[in-house]
Amino acid sequence: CTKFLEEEPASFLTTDQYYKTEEQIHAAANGTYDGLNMPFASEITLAASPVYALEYITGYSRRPRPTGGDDDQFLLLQNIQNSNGRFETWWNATYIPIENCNSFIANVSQTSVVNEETKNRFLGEVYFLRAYYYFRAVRLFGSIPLKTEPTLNLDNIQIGKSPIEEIYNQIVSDLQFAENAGLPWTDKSGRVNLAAVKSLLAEVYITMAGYPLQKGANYYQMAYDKSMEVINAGEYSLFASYADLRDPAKNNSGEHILMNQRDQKNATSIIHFHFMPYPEPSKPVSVIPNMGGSMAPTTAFYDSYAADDLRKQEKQFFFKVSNTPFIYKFWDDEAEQTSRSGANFPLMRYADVLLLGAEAKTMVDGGTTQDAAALDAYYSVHKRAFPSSKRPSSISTDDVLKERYWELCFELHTWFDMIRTRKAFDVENDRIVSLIGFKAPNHNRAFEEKDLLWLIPLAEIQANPNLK
Amino acid sequence: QGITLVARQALLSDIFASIEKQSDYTFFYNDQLLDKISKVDVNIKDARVDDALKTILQHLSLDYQIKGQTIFITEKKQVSTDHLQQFRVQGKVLDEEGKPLPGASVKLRGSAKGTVTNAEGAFTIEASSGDVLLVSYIGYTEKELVLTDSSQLTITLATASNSLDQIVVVGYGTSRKANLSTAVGSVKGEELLERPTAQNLLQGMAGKIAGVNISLNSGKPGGNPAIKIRGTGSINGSNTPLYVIDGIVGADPTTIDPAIIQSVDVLKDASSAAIYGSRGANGVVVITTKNGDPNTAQIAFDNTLSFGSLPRELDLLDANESLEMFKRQYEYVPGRLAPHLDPDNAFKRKDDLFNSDGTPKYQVNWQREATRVAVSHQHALTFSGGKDNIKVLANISYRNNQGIMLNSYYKQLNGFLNLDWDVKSWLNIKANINAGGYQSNNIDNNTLGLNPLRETLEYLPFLPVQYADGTYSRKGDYPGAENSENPVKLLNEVKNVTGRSQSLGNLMATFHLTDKLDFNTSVSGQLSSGYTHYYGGRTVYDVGENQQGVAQRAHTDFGSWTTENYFSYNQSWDKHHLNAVAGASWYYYVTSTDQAGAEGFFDDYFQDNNLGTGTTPQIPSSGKTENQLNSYFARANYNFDDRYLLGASFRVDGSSRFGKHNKYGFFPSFSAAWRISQESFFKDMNTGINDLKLRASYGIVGNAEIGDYVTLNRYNNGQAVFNNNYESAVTLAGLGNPDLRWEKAKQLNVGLDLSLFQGRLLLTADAYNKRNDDLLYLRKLPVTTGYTNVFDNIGSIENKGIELGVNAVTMKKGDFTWSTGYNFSLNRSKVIDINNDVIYPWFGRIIAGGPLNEFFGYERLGVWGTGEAEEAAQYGKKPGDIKYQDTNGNGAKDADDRVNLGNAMPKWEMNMTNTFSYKGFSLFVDLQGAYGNHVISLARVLMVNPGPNINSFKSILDAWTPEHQNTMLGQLRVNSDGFDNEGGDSFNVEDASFLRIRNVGFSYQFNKDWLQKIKLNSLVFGVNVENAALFTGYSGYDPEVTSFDAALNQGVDVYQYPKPRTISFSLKTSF
Repeated sequence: CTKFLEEEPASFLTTDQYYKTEEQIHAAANGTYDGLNMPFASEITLAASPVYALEYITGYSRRPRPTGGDDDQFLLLQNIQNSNGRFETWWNATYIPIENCNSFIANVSQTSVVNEETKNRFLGEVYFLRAYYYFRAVRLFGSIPLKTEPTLNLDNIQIGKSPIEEIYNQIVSDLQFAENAGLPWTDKSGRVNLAAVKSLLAEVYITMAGYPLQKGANYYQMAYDKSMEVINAGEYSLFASYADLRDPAKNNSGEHILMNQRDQKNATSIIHFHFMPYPEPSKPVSVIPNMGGSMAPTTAFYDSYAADDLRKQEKQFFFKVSNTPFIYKFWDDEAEQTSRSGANFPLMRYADVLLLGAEAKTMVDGGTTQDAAALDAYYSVHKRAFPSSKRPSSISTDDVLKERYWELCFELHTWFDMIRTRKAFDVENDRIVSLIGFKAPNHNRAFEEKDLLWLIPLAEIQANPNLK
Repeated sequence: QGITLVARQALLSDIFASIEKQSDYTFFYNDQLLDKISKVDVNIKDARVDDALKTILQHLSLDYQIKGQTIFITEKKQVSTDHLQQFRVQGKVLDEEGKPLPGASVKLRGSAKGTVTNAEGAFTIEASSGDVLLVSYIGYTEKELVLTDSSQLTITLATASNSLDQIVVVGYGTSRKANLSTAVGSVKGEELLERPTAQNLLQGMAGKIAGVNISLNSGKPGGNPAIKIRGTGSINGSNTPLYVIDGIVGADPTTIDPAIIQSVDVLKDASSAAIYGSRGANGVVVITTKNGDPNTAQIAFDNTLSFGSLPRELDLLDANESLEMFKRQYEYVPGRLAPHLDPDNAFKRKDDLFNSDGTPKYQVNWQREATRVAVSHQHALTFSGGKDNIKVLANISYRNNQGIMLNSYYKQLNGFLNLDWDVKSWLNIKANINAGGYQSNNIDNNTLGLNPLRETLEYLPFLPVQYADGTYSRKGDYPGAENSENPVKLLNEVKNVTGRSQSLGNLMATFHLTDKLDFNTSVSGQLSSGYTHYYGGRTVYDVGENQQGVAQRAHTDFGSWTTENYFSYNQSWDKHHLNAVAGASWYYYVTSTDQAGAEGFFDDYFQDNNLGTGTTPQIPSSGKTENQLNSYFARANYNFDDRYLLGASFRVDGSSRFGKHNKYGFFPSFSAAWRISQESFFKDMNTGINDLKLRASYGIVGNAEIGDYVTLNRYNNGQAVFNNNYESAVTLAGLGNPDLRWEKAKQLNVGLDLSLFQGRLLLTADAYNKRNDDLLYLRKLPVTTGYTNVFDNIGSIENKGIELGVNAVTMKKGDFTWSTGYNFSLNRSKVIDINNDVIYPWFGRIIAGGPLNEFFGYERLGVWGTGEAEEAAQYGKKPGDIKYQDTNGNGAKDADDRVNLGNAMPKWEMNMTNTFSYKGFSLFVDLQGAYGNHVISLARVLMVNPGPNINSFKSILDAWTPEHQNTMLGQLRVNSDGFDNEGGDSFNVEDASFLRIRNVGFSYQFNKDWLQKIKLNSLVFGVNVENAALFTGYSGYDPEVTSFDAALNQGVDVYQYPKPRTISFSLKTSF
């Protein structure tokens, strides 16, 4: 009767049936992109999502709609605990997709189902994504387990932490594989492309140069060189207007190097409706006004923009309701027609790469630079905000950092900039200051050393005491 | 072994006695009949009883007839020439096991004539055609039948409830309750009908058996009650019992008409359930349907008409009070004015809603607008009867139940056929067919969203249902409020119809291989097809408006077949009785699902009936799963002299759901009982005790209800978006655990059965300790594995409890009888080990060392007062903010401050029914009580907090003000001013102890003599009030509630459908 009791599932595949065709490999590669969207798709409640924690912690944003404990810990920098569910979401959004990558790499590296060229291209995408997930996590959590082989059974599953440097080395090596995997410079469909690989490598180098590894000038130089490779390739350019950033027709091209891919019908985005003003104005600004209030700039941050900064003008990066600024940067016109937002969320922009290159060069040159390429990079971003401004003859690191705050705000970059530079933007006094000791506008207290790393979630420590 | 008789000139009575010795048959005859017969010669060797009798009687003026185990000897019928009015009726009275009942009373109605059955249960009485024979016996239900001729009668009396002579179905066989060594609770069919508005079997069973907790958690029509036998034992496996209907394992109990149920037996302890080893971990509910009676052809027609209404309205704010609340909320910031008072705020509907002084134009009671008097009716037509060797029962039932919320309903049509046929002396066939369907409109879908039940409470009382221009109001018409749809519009314009059609068939053959050995084989099949039809209209806010109409259709088809095959063996010698069963079964189950939907309709006309009309199709989905079970089982029961009872059963079960190496599990059980009252020393003691039995049992049962395929490594097949195009995407979904094995529930039970005062008082008491080990548990994994959890056998949960059941004829004086049924149960759960995990169900916590169903959260101390400003500031609070206990004293409010806040399961519960009858009148009162249970109401969490932007309870006006500081409610403010709302804090967890008059019934049975004149057999008229009164301190509608699974989330009230109070009129007739 053993035959009678055998299970033969019909609606899903099991692992021993897989990696037999090119189509299966393709589908599995697509599956490894899942981690880009995971934080946006997990634990969504009314106007709340774990993604905003990454901005709440900077202290430059506020949450118009009242909330409970977990978000308040970041919003107020108060009493942060490892039981906070936001940590768990970001942790899971790291290791679940990494397992998909590990499994893909282990299986496809050995396959002969596809030719070497195709195989390398798929592997390149997946190596890039594994590096992306580890890079995100190592910056958030510091020393974490490094796992590059798939889990096959329940033996030895409680692995310990690896040194931060070891994780960076893995990231660099994965990215270097991707760099040589034959990926195209651009990909309109939104897949990983060579520019994304090199841009990420530039960001990895500049982060390694700064905190916590402090590898210094060499790495700043490498970061500068990598960004220059992207810039000099000429495949990407800044959009002429900020509105283009929101134009779905311009997705995955122009200024957008890598985006989180969404679609209006079935893969909707939470961002547009979550950023609606709250309390709901008596005259609604949106077809769905009651989902808003998740995040808005603090007045202090909004006021830090110069009056003539184009980004500050109404309906560029912000809009005002009852004299209170709200975020307009991700406004989705189509969503207002269809009640569903299918807008992509930018993960890597060309403006980011330009500023990264410029910043790296200032660091190489001791705090200010007159390097023409660096000046061009900085100036192209600055000029879009201030069309009548003149090209400066030199720029300082602080100039570039401030520009990053203004240009990249609420795109989930700011916190990473703050911890790798250990600097903050004192918006009230218009100056870059040391992060430790700085009290951000929305926080109850100043940053301390312990705030710089997120806590390994309690649930994970309970399941793996080695992570205590 | 046949009959062997060699004799010369023997008396017939001696010959018959000799046959009785050699077989299980007993003879029944009139002595005078035999007196006329001369002595006879016989020479018979190894003949069948039938053949032996033919030979003996062939030349005599006698005839014979075999009915069951009884042989009737009668005069050979001559071609009748006489038309005598009077004739002689001979008969035999048997119990349900076919054993004779001596001393039963046999009377003719309306006549002084009567007799009593003899030691063989036999009687003779003179009667004439049309007379009604009444047969009664203490502890049994009275039976009556109309006499037509002098044919031999075999009358089987059914036991009244809870008599020790009651026959209990124990799975693959039956047992007399007196001889049970295990814990089995029983309900008779008629008890299930005591409350005529009970909509299904489980509702009818509620409160009838100690230790079987049936929570009627919702008042929606057809609402499915939750059943828990001896507590919750599993965390991730199922906690529902196994249902067996007429031997069909795994049948659905909710669709069968309670009117055709003979009895329900609940196998509570592991020893009784172990014969269904694999799936018995949560108890087994064995349902037996009625059979026809071969003596009488009967038609029964039962009708109930009922009127349900909302029994009590919650104490919500009226229009003026609601506006007062908003006024105070806005005044939290000095000088800020509420929209209706602010001359600068000229919102759209201001003039429609308010007078110039800010007073409201409308006063609407939404609880009244959204509810109605629900008119329901149900009918059952039952034909029963039989002839010779065939018994038949056919039933058709229809119920049309309206809910008290507008447009909610449940309709069901069901047909049932039960056939029992002694085809040959060696073959019996039983066949069941049950087919039907139901449909209901579920207005309570979208539990956590803005559904009509929620809006009925939260909607503002100063908004009209419709404005003068005919448009429905919306909550956002008042700018201070959260926007949402009007509950009346939601009820009228959202359709969520679910239904199912099903058919179930069973064919069982019993071969009498020898006098002692039977072989049973059955094949049964079930098919059912469920569906959901959904449409949210184009103008319904938050439901269909944004998408211009949303339509969905979903189907789920189930199919299953089972075959059960077993031998049963009965042997008696001297004082020894042995009963044994052994067999095997196979079970197969398949489900397939599909769903499709569309959005963007240009007209509401089509609803879900033409998905192609929608401009935006939703991604369709479908699925299929199968599972199989294969089992071998054996059981033996040994009885010595009705004094010592021993039982043992063994079952081996294989499930497809487990890993390669662990498909099979072994489930043994043992039981023993001592009937002290049968001992001669006890009889000598003259205690007044009629029956006393001590029982003990121990057994292991299993649980495999974890879903299919969890031991396989699984991929999830979905889609990924690339530049608005979809591509297939495959991700890892689950890590299989090939070592997964059965969850085991080990249970020790000790009990006693006691009968006093000639059976007028019966008491059953049980104590148990049930421990579930190797839990089928979703073990949390380090996420670095890539998976969050995996099914593993980890952990233990313990349930201990005491059960007490009492049945008493409290008073009997002349025609007046007062009988009482009482049961009490107490259960304590304890989590022994769950891998050091901490699980947080709704507002609760599960942790090793604690009980299940425990609420967990902050202790609310009150509100920070004006004198405590400095201390409050330490916590980032100010006077007027809610003050929580700083349990760990670290000067901050954090997760470690949370404490246990009470348990959702009662400390104890009890049920009591009292029946008073006098002649044709009877009065019935059913009480239900629970003590020490707690409930959390989401309505209170969301509506009674410092800043609701919705309507609230009257109690909110007690909120903190500088002049009124001694309160639990923080200062009112608008939502965006910010405040703590912890949800499950001590203020919101309420004591929900309650006492309910569950039912009061009055019925009148018309005089039978009079009825006979109009050719009716019986006519009973009844009036009942279901849910007649409720005494509780709980602020919501009903403390017997959950909106989620009852196993781990009992007592979480998320805007649950209120239970109606229903007045019903019933008319039952048979002819």
